[in-house]
Order: sequence, then structure tokens, then C-alpha cells
Amino acid sequence: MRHVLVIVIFAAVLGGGCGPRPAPAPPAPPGGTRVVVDDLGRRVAVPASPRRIVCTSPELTEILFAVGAGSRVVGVVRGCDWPPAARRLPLVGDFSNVSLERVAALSPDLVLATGHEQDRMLEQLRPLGVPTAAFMARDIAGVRRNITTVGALVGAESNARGVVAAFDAALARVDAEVARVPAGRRPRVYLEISPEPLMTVAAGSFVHEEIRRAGGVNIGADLPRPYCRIDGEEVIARDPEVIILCHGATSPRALAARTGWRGISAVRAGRVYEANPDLVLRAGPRLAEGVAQLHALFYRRPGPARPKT
Amino acid sequence: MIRAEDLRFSWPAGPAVRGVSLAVARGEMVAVVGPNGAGKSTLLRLLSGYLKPAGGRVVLNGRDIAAYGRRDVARLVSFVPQYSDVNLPYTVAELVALARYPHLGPFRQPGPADRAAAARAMAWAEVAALADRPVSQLSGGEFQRAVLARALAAEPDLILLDEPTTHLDLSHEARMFELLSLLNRERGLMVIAVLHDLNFAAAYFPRVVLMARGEVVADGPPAAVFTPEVLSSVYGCPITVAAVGGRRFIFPAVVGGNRRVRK
Amino acid sequence: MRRKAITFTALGLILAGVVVAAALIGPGLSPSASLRTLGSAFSAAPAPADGWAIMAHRLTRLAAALCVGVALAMAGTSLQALLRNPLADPYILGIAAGGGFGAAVATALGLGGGAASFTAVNGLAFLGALVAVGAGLTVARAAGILSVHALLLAGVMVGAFFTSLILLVLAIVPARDQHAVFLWLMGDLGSPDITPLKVGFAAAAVGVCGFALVLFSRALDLVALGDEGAFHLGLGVERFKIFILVTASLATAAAVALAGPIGFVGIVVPHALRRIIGPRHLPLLFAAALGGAALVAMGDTLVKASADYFSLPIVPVGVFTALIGAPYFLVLLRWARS
Repeated sequence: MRHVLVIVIFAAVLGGGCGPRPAPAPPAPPGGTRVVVDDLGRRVAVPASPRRIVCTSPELTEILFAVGAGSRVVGVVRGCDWPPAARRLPLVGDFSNVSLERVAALSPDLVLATGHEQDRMLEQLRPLGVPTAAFMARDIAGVRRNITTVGALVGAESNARGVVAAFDAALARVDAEVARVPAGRRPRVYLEISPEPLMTVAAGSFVHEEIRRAGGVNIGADLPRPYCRIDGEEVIARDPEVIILCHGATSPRALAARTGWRGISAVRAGRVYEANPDLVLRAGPRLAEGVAQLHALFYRRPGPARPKT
Repeated sequence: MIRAEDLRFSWPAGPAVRGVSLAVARGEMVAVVGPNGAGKSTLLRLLSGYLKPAGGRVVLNGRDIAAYGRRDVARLVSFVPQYSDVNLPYTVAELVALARYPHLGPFRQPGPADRAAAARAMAWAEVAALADRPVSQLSGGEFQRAVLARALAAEPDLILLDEPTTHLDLSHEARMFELLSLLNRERGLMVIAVLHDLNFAAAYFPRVVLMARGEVVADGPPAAVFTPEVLSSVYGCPITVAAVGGRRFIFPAVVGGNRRVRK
Repeated sequence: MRRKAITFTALGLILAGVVVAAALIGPGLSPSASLRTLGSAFSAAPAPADGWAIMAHRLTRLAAALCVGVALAMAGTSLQALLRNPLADPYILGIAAGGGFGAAVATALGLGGGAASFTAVNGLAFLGALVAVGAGLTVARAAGILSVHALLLAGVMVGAFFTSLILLVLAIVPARDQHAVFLWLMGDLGSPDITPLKVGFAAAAVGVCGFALVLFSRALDLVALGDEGAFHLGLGVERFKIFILVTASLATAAAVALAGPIGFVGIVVPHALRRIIGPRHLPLLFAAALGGAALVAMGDTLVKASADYFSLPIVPVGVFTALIGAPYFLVLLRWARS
């Protein structure tokens, strides 16, 4: 009896161990295909006019909706919360881990990704046989490029141009104001993306570029990695004049209670502000709003400074 | 001084002690003997208070042992187990010093009286020369003597021993029983010892209690208890009792002739 | 006797050296500037700008490191005695997992960095640790007398249970929170949310527990004789086991709540020192406290130094405590044998 049980268990394990069989390749889409080179350097044959898109990135989702292709998005991942219409779309997982079955159930003809730490996810999707293209923006110019590229992908080139124009115009308004401020009067800024562990941005990150564009001087510019842990002592020593909290986990009041932070210029002057991480930390069309928000916070008229105790 | 009243105790495997009543008075030296599984070790642990009886009670100096505080019992009664496991490398001196705990409690530090008691105990058990040796480096016999020293250092009124001579060679075995007899005579130390060796029991103990299957079968001086009839029925094989030079010797009846291997 | 004297002196010197190094090393203020800042407390010379703000941060961090080191080493010592296993560590009853779960929940609910002085993460971590221990004790007692065997099994079960809960939380929170929880689990003394008040609370808890352990050090010696041996020498074994468990767990929970689970200290420090000082718990507990404090403070100073001088990213403390501790242990092993 025991032997039978062992054999049954063995068979179940073996049987269950066989993964999903690769789906048969979907029929050639109407209108034919085009070959594009995505940001991972892969040549991908995408449909000329994709109708059913699964998008695994919040920023690319925003772009799709901004260029008017929102109705063609059939599935998103967790975190794709803008515009509000995107929240009603079916979820296929989160940005690093998607469910093959859920994606397959939506019968997509194109999957979009950023390719940033998504290797595993891209591997997971391979058996589906659906074209997957990755577009990642590492800087502000890259965001503009993404808008144009994605717009072209869905055949909404003119809409995309409009979005880019609005994006550029918003940035230009900030540039004009910043140009009026002499280089020596630009505030030192500490932008915190995580409180525990303490993390900020450095050169190489598009957020760093935003800070610069918005007229600030990032105190973490020279840190070794684009998104880097920083010691509390360093923040005190570099004495920022403005502190931007970009994570929502700490209030400005709580920040002032951190050991030794009371004497930092920004804290004494009350120039500790919370910014919207969806605008600032997302490389999508609303980044221009993020830069504008940062600019407004950097140059907000500060209250009377408390004396250094 | 210590009395067992109708003690009952069962292990999960089955009853071990079934209604044992026993009284041991001051100054007595008693050996508890019997075949394996007779319940001797269990009885000893019931007497020490380590096991709680399912029925009956143990009375120590007129009070139920359960009514005593832990340390109060430890000041009166010491226990020498058959297998002792000390997994930290205490030296013999440190091990023996631990025995003063019942008198000191957790907070007081040992004083001259405690050190003297420990030194005396080590001298009696002949381990004084090993005082600074870690116990992990002792032979089985040396360790057993150190454990005896530990039990004696507590200066108890009663000492319980569970097959204390398992690892001792003949001369040390004899010396241990000599020591116990000496302490019994000169300091009134009460001794209750579980022994497997009937000859030593007969030689050194004025009173033996014979147990079988959880009950006391016989209780009295060796001459009365160690008769061929009683022993044969308890041990289930023919036993010879011979007197040689005033000493009693107990032995299975025929050496080499008791069993036949089936072909 | 001489060996003990040498060891205590050595430990004291090492600890003093580490404390000085920890006060002088850090990315915000050079060693000479740090020295000047400290000196300004005694002389009329002014401190460098921001000197005292940075010093406040640094000294709080040092105090936290010492507190954690003392707690883990003393807890490890007493648990090794209780569980009769010289390789037991203070997390053996699932404390790290319980604390981690508390921290994960706090992070997931966005409670980190609260306005009150006792941050939600620390508080929930502490609670989580205590719940784990309570659960373990309850389970072990239900199995009958509080045997070492039952305790170990209960600890493994509770630890596994809370670990799976941590994984559950990790699975449902966004990536940013996952990262935070993961890094908390590796231990971190550098958070500026570690305020002097929190360190004060933790130090009070650790102080009380340490004092209790030292007070009952002779009873700890007895536990080495086994349940029966200790009983026959007058120790109320069941009650004492619970007492030691609760005390050691409280100290460990305080350390975990403050800085996350820092590994290696609780096993190696007592184990190594026992080979030199001997198994008597009165001197051993003191030596372990010194050794643990030195090890954790040394590890944390290395974290700061490596980030500052070698531009390494900030490494979790546990990495350095293991990197220092392992060779330290091997050297002691060789010396102890000679």
C-alpha cells in the first residue's frame, strides 16, 4: 500500500512538473508586421497596428493613454494607476512578475515593457509567442523619445507629437524661470526616495536631471550609484537648503525629529516638502509636471528661519 | 526519616511502581535490588521528589515532600544518578562547588564554610587531585567519583544513589562502599542505593529491599532476603547462594549450562 | 585566573579602541574635525559647523550598536546554557522572524518614520518578537514539560510561521517596500530614526535583562547539569527556564526592534569566550557583554568607513560582524587550545 502511495506521489510530481506547453504562435495580424529595435537591442516583429496591448509599466501605460491609444490597452500590471481609466483594466501581475495564464487569457498582440529588472518576466512571456518590446527612458530626452516611439508603434504619431510639444512647453516654462536665477543662488537640494534605508538620487538618474532642470543643486550628485543609500551624517554635513520627501512614509515633522537633523538649513527654515512620487519618480509624460512641482517647491517663499540652537 | 506510603507511578509504557510502602529511619543504609524493570530507579526518583507519584505520597521528616520548597529538599537529600551529563567543561572543583547551591541560593557567593565542605567532599571521593581538570577529560570512573563528591558536598542527611558503581573498577567500587559505610557510621549519613550487584549489596548493606515488577517482594537483612528460593523466583533462573569465609556469595546456579541454542 | 585577567583587560582595551574609532569615523566629519568637536565640550575652542549635530547622530548610533551587542551576546550566552547547546543563537525561538514580521507590517502600512519617538516599525518589531516567543512558549508547554527538545521544535515552527508571513507581506507590497523590508532584515544601525530616546528605552530593557541574568548566573551554571541534576540541587527548573527564556527574549527583542536582526554576534561571542574564560556564567556574562558590544560597534564602524573611504555602497552590519567575527573566533580557538 505504501509503495503505491509513493508511486502516485511521484507521478503527480512529475506530471505537475511539466510546465505550460508553448502556445501555438498566434496567426499573423492583419495589416502585417514591422520590425523595430527595442531598447534592449532586440529586433522585434510588432504588428503594424496593434489592437490588444498588455502594458507592464506604469509610465508606458500613461504614454499609451496620453497618445489616445488607451482603448487598445487590454491588460496592465499593479501600479498602473494613471489615468483613472487604467485602474479598471485587468491586472496581469506586477512589474517584475506576471502571470502567463492571465496574459494569455487576454490574447494580446503586443506586450510592452521597460526592460528594467524585467529579465525574468520577459523569459516568462516567451512561450506565449507574442511580440514583446522594451522601451526604457534613462533621462528626460529618453522620455520624449519613448512618447514618440510608442506613438509610432500604435499609429498615433500626430497625437504623440502633440504630447511631446506640451511636454516641451511645460519644461520650457520652467527653464525660463530657472534661467533668471543666477547659478550661485540655486538651492542645495536633498531628495529622499526612501527613508529606511535612507536613499537619494545621483548623477545618472533622470530624477537627478529633474532636480537640475528645476533649478536645484542635488547634494547627492557625486554618490556612486544613480539610486544610492546615503548616511544620515552626510546629509547633515552637506546641509541642504531644501529637502524633498518623495515617498510618503515620513512627514516633514517626523524628519525634523531625526537625530542631528534639527540644525540642517532646510529644517531650520521649514523648507521640507513632500512631492508627488508619481510625478517625479515616473519617467512618463507627467514628468514635466513633476519638474514644475519641484521648481515650485525649491523656490517657494520660505517662512522666517528659526535660529540655530 | 523518609517514608513511602503506597506509592504508585506509571510510565507511558506501563506501570512501574505499584503500591510500594517503605520506611527508612535515621542512620540506616539500605540497598534496593531486583531485576531490570523492577521499578527501582523509578522508586528512587519518587523518593527524591523528582517524579510526582500518581498515588500515595512520600513523607520526609514528617511532612509530605510535595509541601517542601525545592531547595529545602535539596539541603536534606542528595542524588547520584547513573548517567550524568555535563556538557560544559566545568572543572571538578567548579562542579563540586555547584552543590552548595541549596544552601546559598542564587544570590549568595560561596564562603569559607562552603569551600571547606567542597574540599572535604572531594577528599572523601578521592578526586581532590583532579580538582582543576575539566570534567570532559575525566575517565568514566573519575567522573562518577566527582559526581559523588558533588552529592556529598551538599552535606545532605540522605543520599540516594542509582547504580553508582557502573563505571568503577573493583577497587574503586569497594572504596566507594567503604566510604559510604564510614559516613553512615560516623556521620549518620542515610544511604539508599539501587544496586545491580547482589554481592556488594550483601556485603555492605545491613538492609536490602528486593523489588520485582513494581512491588516490594522482600525487605530485611541480606541473610533473610537473599535465599535461593526467593532469588530464583524473582530472577527467573536458578540461583546459588554460598557462604565463603563468612561472606555470602550469590551466583547463577550453573555457569554455561543454563541455555541451549536452538538449531 | 591570569587568563581571565588578561582576557578582560584585552576586551576592555578593544572596546575602548572601538568606541574611540566609532566616534571619530564617519562620512560627515573627518577624524580631526570630530576630535575638535568633542574637545570643544571641554575647552573654549568652538566646534566646527554642524559638528555637534553630526556627533549627536554618531554617538547615538554608537550607543545603539553597544546596546545591541550587549543584548545579543548576553542573550546568546544564557540561551546556550538553557538549551544545553553551545551553538544556539538568540533567534532560535523565532524572534528574528517575529520582529521581521512586525517591521514588514509597519512598512506595508506605511507607518515607518512616525512622529512619535517610538517609531511604528520599532514598536511593531518588538511586539512581533514577543508574540513569537509567547507563541513558542505556549506551544512548548502544551507538549508537556518544558523540555529543551520541545522548545527547539516550537522555535523552529514559530520561526517558519512568521517567515512565511513575512514572505506573504513581501509578495503583496510594492517593490519599494519590498526593498525596505529586505534591508531591514539584514540589520541597519545607521537609520537617523534611531533617536536617543529609543536607544534609551532599548538600553533600559537590556540593562534590566542583563542585570537579571547576572543575578541568576549561578543558577545558569546549574542548568548545565541537565534537568534532573539541576532539580536535585534545588533549582526550580521549569520556572527558571521560563524566566531565562523571557529575559533573553526581551533583550533580543529590544535589539531586533532597534536595528533589525544582526546575526553572528549571539552565537560566536559567547562560544568563543567560553573557551577562554571557562563555563562559569558570572564572568562569562560580563565578558560576553564586552565582547558583543565591541563586535557590533566594530562592524558598524567598518560599515561607515567602507562607505566613506572606499566608496562601497552601504553594507549591512551583519556582513561585517561575520567577516570580523569568524577570523576572530578562529584566532581565539587556536590561542585557547595552547
